[in-house]
Amino acid sequence: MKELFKFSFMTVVHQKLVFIVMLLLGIVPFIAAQMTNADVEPELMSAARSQALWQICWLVQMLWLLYQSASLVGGHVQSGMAAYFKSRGLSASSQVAVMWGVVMLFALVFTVWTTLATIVFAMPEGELVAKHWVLLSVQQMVLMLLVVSAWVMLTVAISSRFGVVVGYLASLALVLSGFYGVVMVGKVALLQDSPLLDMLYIITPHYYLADLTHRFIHGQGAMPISGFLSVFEYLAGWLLVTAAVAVPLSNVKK
Amino acid sequence: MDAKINVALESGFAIGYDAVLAKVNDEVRLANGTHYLMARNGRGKTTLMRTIAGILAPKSGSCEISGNLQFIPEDITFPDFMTARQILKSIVNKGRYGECVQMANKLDLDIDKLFKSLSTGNQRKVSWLMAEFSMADAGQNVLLLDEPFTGLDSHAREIMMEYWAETEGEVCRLVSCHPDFDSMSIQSAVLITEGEIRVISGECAASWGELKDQLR
Repeated sequence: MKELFKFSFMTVVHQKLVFIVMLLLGIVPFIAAQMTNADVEPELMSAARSQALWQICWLVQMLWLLYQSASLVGGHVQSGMAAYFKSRGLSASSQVAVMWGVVMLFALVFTVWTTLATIVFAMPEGELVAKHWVLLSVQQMVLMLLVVSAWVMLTVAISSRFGVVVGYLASLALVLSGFYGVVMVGKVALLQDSPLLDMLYIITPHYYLADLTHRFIHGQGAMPISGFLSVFEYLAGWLLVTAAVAVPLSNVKK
Repeated sequence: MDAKINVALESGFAIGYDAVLAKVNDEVRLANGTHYLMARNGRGKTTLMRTIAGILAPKSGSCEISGNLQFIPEDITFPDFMTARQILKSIVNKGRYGECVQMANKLDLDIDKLFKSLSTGNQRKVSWLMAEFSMADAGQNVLLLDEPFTGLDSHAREIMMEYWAETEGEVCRLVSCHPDFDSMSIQSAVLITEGEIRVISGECAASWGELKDQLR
């Protein structure tokens, strides 16, 4: 297990794309924030930076992290390394779990960086506001990690079974529908009396609940604990459902 | 299972996909040493290895493995953008990495080249080195090598066989191959012929030239 973790980790590192992503996360949010009219209204800088930081982090998780998950696992199966590690006693689901862990390590780095940057570089003034800002940042970090861990789990499992392209596109489609599509379905369902749309709205994961960027922008403060726990439980439930789907999907054969 | 036996294919053990490709009639027992797996094309050499490795389910019966197993598929590859050194460093046993590099030098393998820049033979050396030097220091080891000689020159093949001879007391190796010289001496062979998996060893040992006539 240790060898697979190390090998997979080194594969991501030596591909070097991760360094470009890190550079992007470290620089672009600050450049993007400068493009607002914060020069005229300096109080906007806090909202602009936090918005840019979290939105770029979401984009990186959706686009690069899912691609990396699909590429790592799809390549692992196609190269014959999955069969090799299976012969060493690592089951398909264990291998998928190890690779999920490798990808989540990068997700953790991105999320912790964004949280710290939000606190250090985008904190608004005022003691009470600052307290809420820190709590909101931690809440956002927890929800992002929860939802991203489900996305990565789904991507690695599908890619192990159906290859890189199907794994990436299918996961991305599900993520986008849970992040944006379900909101539109909800709006249409409100206007039309369609049980089918209502059902679609219910069964589609509401991943957008994990995005608290609007609370940073509009200075809404931290979520009330009960509301936060409800969202946490809902998303944790989806994580469990994803894990239940991922285990039988895991595969080592070409 | 006898402590000295690493691989035991019980009587009735059968391999295949939709239909049975080959079956064991008399139990096959392999101890430490090098055993060559020989059969004509399409008779089930790779299928047998994949079944022993647990990647495929047997059609019937069971096999027992004692020790740490490793199966190196014939077509195993590594990421193109990694050098052989980076690959080996991340997988082989830390305590045996130096020994692994020495063996790579002996095999004329430039481990600082990207994997994609290596020739077919040199790529095969990387997977072989990974398997040989990932083995557990203690305990029994079973190594299944599918066509490890593909693309190798005779110099490299001789070094590999010498190494196997030196370490045959520690490892049970099952090596599928198609020898290209009739005089190659084979002390133990697992043959798949006429749908039967059987072992030839000890006094029945023979040269490849004699064995190949038995393959159907």
